[in-house]
Amino acid sequence: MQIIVTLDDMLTRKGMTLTELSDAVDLTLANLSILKTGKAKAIRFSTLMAICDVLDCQPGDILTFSREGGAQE
Amino acid sequence: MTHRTTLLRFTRLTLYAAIILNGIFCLAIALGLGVSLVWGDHFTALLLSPESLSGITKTTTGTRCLMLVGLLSAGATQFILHVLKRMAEPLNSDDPFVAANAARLRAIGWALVGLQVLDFPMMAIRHNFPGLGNAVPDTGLSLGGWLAVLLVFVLARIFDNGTAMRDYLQETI
Repeated sequence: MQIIVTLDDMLTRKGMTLTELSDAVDLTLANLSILKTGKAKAIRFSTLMAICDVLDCQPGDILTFSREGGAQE
Repeated sequence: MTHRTTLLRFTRLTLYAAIILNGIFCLAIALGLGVSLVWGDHFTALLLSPESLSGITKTTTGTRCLMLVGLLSAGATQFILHVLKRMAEPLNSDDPFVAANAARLRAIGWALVGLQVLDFPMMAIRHNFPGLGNAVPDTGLSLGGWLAVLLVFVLARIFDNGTAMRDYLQETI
């Protein structure tokens, strides 16, 4: 089971780079990379809100639940 | 933050001084024990008052036992001081919630258990070798000492939990 982060797809659709998103949501590029690569253990609602606001999308547009794959804690 | 830095610097200096002094103490006891094993009663006669010299062979045995327990105590203390010094080092003091510090606290806890347990042979020495007189510290079961042991183990557990929470937070975006 895992949560798949499809931030890359959304950025491509919006024509935005990760660096531009990082500046817009006031998150470091390193943290956004951790999120993008699926290495984040948790995401704050405030972060999710900021990303959805900038990308004009819903949380479900960048987060997908999958029963396959992923390491269990 | 300046006050904290000053306090940490003072703590490190105090620990360095304590390590050196305790190290000298350890060395002195070890040397004394070695000399006692070689010179036996002659060495004991040098250490104790003339009134204590009756039954000198038994007193020599008592002196050696006392030195051995003293060496073990000083050794445990030296270990605790070294571990504390590592915890107070700049890198570690900036971010204390690391797994290594929890392990260090547990190690200090076990060393403190050792120190408390050494009270028992010390009491036995005091009881069985009265000729040693005031050379034997007047030890007894120390409630404060055992409470300190409990406190350190509880702190180690807190550090474990704190480290886990910190690691989780670092991966929270």
